[in-house]
Amino acid sequence: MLNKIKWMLGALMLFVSSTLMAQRPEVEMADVMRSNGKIYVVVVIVSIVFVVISAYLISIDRKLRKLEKDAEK
Amino acid sequence: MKRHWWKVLGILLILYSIIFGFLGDVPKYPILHETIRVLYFHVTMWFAMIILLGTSVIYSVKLLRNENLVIDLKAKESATTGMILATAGLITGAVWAKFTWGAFWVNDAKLNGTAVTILIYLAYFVLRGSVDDSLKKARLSAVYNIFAFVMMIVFIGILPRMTDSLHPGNGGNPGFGGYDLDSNMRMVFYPAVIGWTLVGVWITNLKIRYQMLIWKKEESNA
Amino acid sequence: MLLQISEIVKLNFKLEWRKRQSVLAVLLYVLTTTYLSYLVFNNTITTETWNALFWIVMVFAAIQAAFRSFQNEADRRFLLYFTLVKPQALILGKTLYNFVYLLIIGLFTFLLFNFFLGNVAKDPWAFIVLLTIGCAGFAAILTFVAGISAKAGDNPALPAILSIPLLYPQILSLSKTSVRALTGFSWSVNAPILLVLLLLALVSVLLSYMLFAYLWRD
Repeated sequence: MLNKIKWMLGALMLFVSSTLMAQRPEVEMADVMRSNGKIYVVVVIVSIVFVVISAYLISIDRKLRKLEKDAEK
Repeated sequence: MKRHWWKVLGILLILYSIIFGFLGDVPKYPILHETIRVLYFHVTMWFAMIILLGTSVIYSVKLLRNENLVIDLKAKESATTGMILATAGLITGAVWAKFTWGAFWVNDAKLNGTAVTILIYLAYFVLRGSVDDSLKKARLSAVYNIFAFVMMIVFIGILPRMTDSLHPGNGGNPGFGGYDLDSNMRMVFYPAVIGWTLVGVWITNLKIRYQMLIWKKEESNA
Repeated sequence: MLLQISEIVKLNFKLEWRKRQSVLAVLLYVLTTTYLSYLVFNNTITTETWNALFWIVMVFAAIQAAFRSFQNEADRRFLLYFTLVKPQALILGKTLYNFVYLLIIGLFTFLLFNFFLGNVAKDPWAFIVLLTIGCAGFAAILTFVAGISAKAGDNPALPAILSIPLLYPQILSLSKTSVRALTGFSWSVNAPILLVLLLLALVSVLLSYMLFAYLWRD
């Protein structure tokens, strides 16, 4: 009798644990974009936007520096 | 180049965060999927904002000891750039929220703290606008800045912890309660914070120099 | 210094009693807004709404009340007396006076709300304790901001704009906790919030104590 119970309990736990394995499904990510290389387009575009803005900041900085030099004369 | 290294560093760090922000590995969370990368931009701007607002308060404290309009200018411009970052952070946050949680605004402690911060600093600018005399303006706005900043820190720091002690957890959304970055994200995140702070300081610096040039011109004309 | 503080408190009470219009005006404001709420809600008011309305009316009444704190100061007659008093004593005295003032208004508001909008409080004493702590916090922040506004000129909207954002943390905590006072209050659960509210009030008083001297310098 005791053996039967142990056997049934073991089978039950095996069954339950197999359902638990279904609790970590693969979370979708943008692997499609990565796999066909298009992610690099995104990176390049955002980088370009940022570089243009930085160039603008640099030009403002230069103009201010020039004005400051002139003002000191 | 010696004096400008930090500006170049700021740009390079942000560029680094853009490139590796998109290409690097990130942990995979349900609900968030790839949008977790928004952390590199939205949250880094918040951090930079806090640093800039902190700078503003430090200048305000300096001003109370030494009433100098240049110090007041520095305090004001740091706060302005802080507000620009706050607005950018708010809008990016709202867009992120709409896509991940379905609403632009939710009743959450961090969002409340953000609203309080922005309103406090908008009030700071209204206060400055109401006073005509420059020295008085400097002094009053410095006093308000210090008072408001401390209250803001108390609010942002203490209240969320307090409400957590009564309401267990932040609900089931991993994207909000879980600002624990894994080590991959940390390598992009912290440099990005430094980068945004440096660029923020640079913008502030440009505005300060611009205003000082105007003052100099007014002086030489008068 | 304690003597100076008590003198200031007494003086403010005397002044207020002489020109009773301002306190009556604030009480009337509370009455009219409460009645307005009654008309608009027309007996469909829930406990949460009662609670929310109460704090909104209270905040605006408090701002009105506290703003008048420094209006006397603009008057030339008081200039001499103010040079004799330490600024720290002045701000503490004013804050204390405003605390009592706001408490009176708060209790009046509570009575009116019970009268017009129904007696919804299951634990009225808890609510009153909460109200007292809230008034302390409000008084601390509002007195200081009233000082700033008084020095900053005549913009009438300025005190409200400056003070309301600073009050958000307190209002948030107060309204969350007072809903529980209305529906069944447990002291042990809510003690942390009460402590935090007291802490907020304390921090505000400390800050205003330290900063007021700089404000008052001319």
